[in-house]
Amino acid sequence: MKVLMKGNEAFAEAAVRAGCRYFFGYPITPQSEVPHYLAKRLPEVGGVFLQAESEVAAINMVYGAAAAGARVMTSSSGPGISLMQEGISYLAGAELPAVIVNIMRGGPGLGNIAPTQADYFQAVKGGGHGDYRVIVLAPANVGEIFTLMEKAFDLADKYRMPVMVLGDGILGQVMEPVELPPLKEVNPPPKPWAATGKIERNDKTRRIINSLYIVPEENEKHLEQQFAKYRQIEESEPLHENFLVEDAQIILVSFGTMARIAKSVVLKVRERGIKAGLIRPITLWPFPKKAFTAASIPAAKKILTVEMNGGQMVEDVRLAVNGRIEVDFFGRTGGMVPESNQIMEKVLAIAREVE
Amino acid sequence: MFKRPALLTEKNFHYCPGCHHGIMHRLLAEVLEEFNPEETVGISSVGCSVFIYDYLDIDWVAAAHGRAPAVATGVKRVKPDRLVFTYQGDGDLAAIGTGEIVHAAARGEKITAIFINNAVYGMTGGQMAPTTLTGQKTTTTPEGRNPSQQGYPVKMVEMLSVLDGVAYAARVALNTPKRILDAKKALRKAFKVQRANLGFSIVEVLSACPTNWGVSPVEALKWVDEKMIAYYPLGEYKTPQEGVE
Amino acid sequence: MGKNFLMAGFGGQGVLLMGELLAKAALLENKGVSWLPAYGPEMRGGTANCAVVIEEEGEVVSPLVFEPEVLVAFNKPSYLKFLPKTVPGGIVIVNSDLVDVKLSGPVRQVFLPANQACLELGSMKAVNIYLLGALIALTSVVKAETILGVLKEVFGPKGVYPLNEKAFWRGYDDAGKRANHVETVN
Repeated sequence: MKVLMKGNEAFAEAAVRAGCRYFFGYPITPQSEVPHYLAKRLPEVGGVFLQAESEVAAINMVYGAAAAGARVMTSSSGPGISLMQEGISYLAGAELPAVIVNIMRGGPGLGNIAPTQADYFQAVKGGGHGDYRVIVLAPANVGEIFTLMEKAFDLADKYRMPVMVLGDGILGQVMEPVELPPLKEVNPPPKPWAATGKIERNDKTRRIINSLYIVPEENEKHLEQQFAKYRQIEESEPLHENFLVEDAQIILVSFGTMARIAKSVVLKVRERGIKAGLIRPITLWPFPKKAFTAASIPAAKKILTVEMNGGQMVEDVRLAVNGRIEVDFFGRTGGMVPESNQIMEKVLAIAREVE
Repeated sequence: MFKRPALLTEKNFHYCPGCHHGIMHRLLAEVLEEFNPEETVGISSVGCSVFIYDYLDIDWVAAAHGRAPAVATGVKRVKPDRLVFTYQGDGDLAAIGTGEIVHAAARGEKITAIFINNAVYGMTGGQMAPTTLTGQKTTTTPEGRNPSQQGYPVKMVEMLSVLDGVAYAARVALNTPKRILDAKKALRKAFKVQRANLGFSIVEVLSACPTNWGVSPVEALKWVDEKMIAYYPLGEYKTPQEGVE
Repeated sequence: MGKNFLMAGFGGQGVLLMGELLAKAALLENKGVSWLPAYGPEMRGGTANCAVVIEEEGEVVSPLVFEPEVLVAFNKPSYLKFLPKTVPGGIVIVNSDLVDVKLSGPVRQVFLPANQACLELGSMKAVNIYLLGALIALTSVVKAETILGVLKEVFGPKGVYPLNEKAFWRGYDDAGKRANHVETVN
């Protein structure tokens, strides 16, 4: 049976159903329903909800819980995610699995609490110090929050690294019907590497969770292992959704809720006989490059990337097409949402140009 | 009596001559052996003791600078039956990690903080610490710490002891055999408080840093007496009414 | 694509709840639906609005409503702000007790004295349900009985349900009566 659920609550319930039992976070709009929900829900399932004194503390509590082998998460919004970057870098360096939800808001600085996608660079290109990657997933509707949160925890454990799930104020606040996945026993993979006290190991060997490699040769070796892992992820984990791209001469590229507005534009211009389609990257890192090969978009004459920011993912789209096709951009920023009519005008202008 | 505690690894300490980290590591090993080291998870921090995990043969989680109490919170909440402690210096605990230590204490987090106060930043090159004494020369207070410019040294256990979440707070020193024995007692009590789930416990250890103080190891012992204890009085600032002897 | 609704008014008028009730009813009828509130400081004492999109089949494509097909204006600022955005041929349901002007536009405007009607029924709190009744009467987007089922579930069979049921039918009837002789100003 379907129930109506708010996006933020879905992030929370999805985490519980994915076996997450630990949440550490600090209040910030527009993600507050996530902690509100988990403060009530986690104790019901024997879990722990803890409101930390800061995002800095929260992410380090996540680090500690992950080091002890738990499925653990935090959620925040741009300014809080900035404060967490230190901890995310340490999670990556120490190879710890954790899920971080960012319900993006307007920035830079204090900005505002309106929806944006302005943290794409921060999420996808690093954010913290050092040479590392974070898997980034971008759900577009409440149902997909459930599938991607489960995936986030699974990927985090599989690759032993932090996974970020990017939403925006729209996704956090929207309420939509969702078929709740069954409450099932979740069995995360064993974590023999976790620092849980020697008592939990028969051989009584000890565990040290650490990101300090004082000898550069050793650090390089460690990072080469990480990069081998990253290459494997780039090979096997990219996800995207194609919508009417096969015959499309104009390809829109959008992620998250923005892609839903873009999709409505595709449908509208199709009514006018314009062959438009949409590629919606679901994994932002690894970026779904293969969706942009000549074989994948055989009729494409021009690409239009649409984002709720000043132009960030467009750089990855350009890298993916590597100059083969011209890539245009339309976006609004600062908390303003590109309206369907504005995007349509842009598409119509491109259509005239392409003719 | 003088045999090496089994918990200390074979690795030689990297500390300077006269540094008190070595004594404290040994005391910690001895006390943990009285409990169950296999049930222990240590949280190391950033500072001279960053490699402590090389010396004590237990599970460790290495924390970012100042964040050890938050990391310890995460570990303890997942594994409430483990003995979890942080080992932090004065820059780590009393400067960059002030928020984390205060709130772990306020929450009554069932962890133990071992706080090495040597009134100076050791690893980064002898800069002023939050606990650097008035008039004390460091590489960033070449004329001596001037309260009108750099403010006053921070008294951490006094501050923390007023928090309801704190069950045990003591300050000890390691500059005489008697004080070393007292330090061991305080450490034991702090872990007992944790074992009894009474709340947060902290032991501040006045510790010598001859290298950065610019004195000999022997003079450093005197310096602890004359300068540090004079400003940072030893003793138990808070102790539970019952639950531990 | 689906039908777009926008309801707007002051915080405290039950604007968001009205949208939520409509969304719940749509779900019960197995329609695709989304409900999206404008959130933030404006929720606290300022203006409040929410968008509901209902698809007869399949999921909602975009939950954002830039140009409503049906606007419910609870007060004057909402009327002035959103009527010009309503699509040509759309319906604008207006609480005439709080809107003392009339804009022209290629839309069908239905003025209803929602405050006055609810005062007569006993509580101004039912204004949102009165306007919901009007919306159902004018659009038939979901069945009246489905909405009433939702109202009963939300308000409890005893409690304030009877009042809200009355308000719903009053709005429904008033809209029915007026729907045929309302200005479509061009």
